[in-house]
Amino acid sequence: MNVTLTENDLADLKEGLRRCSPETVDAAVRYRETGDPDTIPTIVFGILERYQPATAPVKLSEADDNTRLIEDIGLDSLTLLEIVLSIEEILQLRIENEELREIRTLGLLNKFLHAKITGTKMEAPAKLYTRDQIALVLPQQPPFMFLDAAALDGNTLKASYTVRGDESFLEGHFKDEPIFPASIVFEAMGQAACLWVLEKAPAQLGRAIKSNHVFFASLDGAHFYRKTKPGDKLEFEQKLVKLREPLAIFEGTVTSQGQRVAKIERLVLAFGEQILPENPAAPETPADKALAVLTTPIASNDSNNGQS
Amino acid sequence: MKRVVVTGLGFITSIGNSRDQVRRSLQECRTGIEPFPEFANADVPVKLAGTVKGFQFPTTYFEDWTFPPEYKLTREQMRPMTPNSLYAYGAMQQAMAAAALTPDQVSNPRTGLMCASGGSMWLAYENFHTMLTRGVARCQPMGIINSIPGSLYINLVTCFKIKGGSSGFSSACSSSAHALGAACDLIRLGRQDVVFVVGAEDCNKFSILPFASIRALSLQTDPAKTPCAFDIKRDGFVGTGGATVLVLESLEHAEHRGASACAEVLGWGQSSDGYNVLAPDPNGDGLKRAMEDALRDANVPKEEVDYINAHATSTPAGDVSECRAIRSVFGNGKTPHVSSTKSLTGHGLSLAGAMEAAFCVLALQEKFTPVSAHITQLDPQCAIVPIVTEPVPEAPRVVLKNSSGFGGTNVCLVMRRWENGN
Repeated sequence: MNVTLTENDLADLKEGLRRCSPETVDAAVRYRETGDPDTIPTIVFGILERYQPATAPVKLSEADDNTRLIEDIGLDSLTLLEIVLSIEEILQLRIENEELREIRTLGLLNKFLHAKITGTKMEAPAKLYTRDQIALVLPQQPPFMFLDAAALDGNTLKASYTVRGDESFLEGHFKDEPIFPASIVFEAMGQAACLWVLEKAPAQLGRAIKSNHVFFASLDGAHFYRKTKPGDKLEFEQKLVKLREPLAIFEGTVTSQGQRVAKIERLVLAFGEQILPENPAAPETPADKALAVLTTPIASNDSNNGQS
Repeated sequence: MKRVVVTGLGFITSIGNSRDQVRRSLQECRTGIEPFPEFANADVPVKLAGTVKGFQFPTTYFEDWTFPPEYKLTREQMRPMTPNSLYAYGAMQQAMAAAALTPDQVSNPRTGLMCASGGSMWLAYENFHTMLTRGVARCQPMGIINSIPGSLYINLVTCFKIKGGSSGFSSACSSSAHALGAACDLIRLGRQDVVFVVGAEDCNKFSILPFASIRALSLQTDPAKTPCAFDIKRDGFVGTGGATVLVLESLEHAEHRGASACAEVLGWGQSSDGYNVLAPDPNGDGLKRAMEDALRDANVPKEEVDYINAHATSTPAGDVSECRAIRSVFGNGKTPHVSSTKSLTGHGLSLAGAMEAAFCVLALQEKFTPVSAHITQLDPQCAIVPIVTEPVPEAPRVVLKNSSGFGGTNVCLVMRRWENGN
């Protein structure tokens, strides 16, 4: 596309880019005239520069792709909104709220705009959760919630928990020698898997899952290698092996400071209304149901959406 | 009931941006009125305004606004501001310093904020213009905040982290007098220990010129001649803006923290004319009832009142009506001195009541009676009360502050000089 801007267009563009550098205006003119997506970083930089507060922890001139918009560049939600309005006006596009939520860094913003303009699909970035956000999803709640942070990316998840030392069970496990129980480490892996099921499975299955409809079903090949104590940070890495209603099967490992702590070869969660104990058609317990399903062999290359 | 004192004042007004400048302007009869560049076009019949010095608002972008360097605001604080909020920010800073309030005392559940402003009609117009010409999606994110009259209290509550009750008053030109009355009651009832009373108004063609079509504005071009409240040649008011803050505080709270009082607020009264949208009741019946209500509330014999700061805006109808109201309250007995300080400042609309109440505090504390400026020939209809046309030696002890607004809403405030032990 090659167009020449009218005087009015140019005046509008300059008005929209008030207080931005001449380079920004030049890039915007070029973008409007040629549609060249390579102009985007310059335009975005110029707009961010105009709105960046003087007290920002990271100066834009020192920013790179990993610089975070809120924490580093110091933008509050309203400033972010001003920037979005400005970008929308200059690039003549619309950014939806859902799209905004995933854009956390300068690199992601540029990538997102580039993809949007060129019509290519951007890989969805890993979704990060804070402890508070996790608590909004999981049925397990503090003090029985053993996750501080989590990242869900496709069929894999990473999570972490730092042993505080004031967990009530440490008083007796063991008296005068607090050691984080192995059973709780496995529980934490179950909670991380539960987060994946509640956040990711609905999109893959095309149906909602209620948070109180996920149950622990079975655990195979559980190994425990190392004691952890208050102050230790447990890091979980888990992968979905199979998702087939009503089961989700995971494998995963736990490490602390690079040393392996635990491993589970097969962690099975059962979910959905059909496994509720009060459902007359359901077997007695989620575990029974899981066993019933598990005893029928599942080929490991079944499609995720395979219906039994 | 608790006693209420004023412990701090702050001014951004046409006659000065500090207590000292304002006092000097009042005592030396210096006008704040001058030709207003916004009215320079030939098609604008009005030429004068009570300009606010040291502040410029060349565009709607707050980044382009200039103001005295002692006021430091962050981008986040500036973004939702209106000109009236920015004036008020400056006046708040002065008032907090004058009252020697610590940050903890300002941001405290026992400290409230009562505000009055007509809002920024300028920014409202520009915001709507943007919405209609550039599209709904291009509305300024702060467009609703800086358009509504509530923007004054919204901005101040946020800037100063106010924790007590906060509210806005919207009763036209008596708004900030109502705010002061409400603040007085909150303290008397023990519901707050400290209340900031804020009146603030933009000063631009949007806040002033709409009054031209009802012929309320003076067409005089010489600032040495107008406004001239009570004069036979008065031809309307001159608009102004700015902000004034009064710190009201319970006497016991002030004494407990060792703050000195500037004056005591004894009480207040209010009424409505029930008469006309624009015009005051010609006999001043509504204002008379407000003054009587105030004297009753303050429990002060009318003989003790020695100065009235009149609402008198310099319109032909309003000034006469007020003089009749005063005459009928005081009957044939001793009648206090009467003057209009609007002849020096211009009419501050929502700001007027608080600004002039603060002038009264200065008059009580500094022991002078403000003169009514620019009078060459008293209107005989106004001469029925003693208008202060020349400086008088008497210093007031008890003063009334009258305020009236569109729709015939009236407020009268009663204040007394603070002397240790009284």
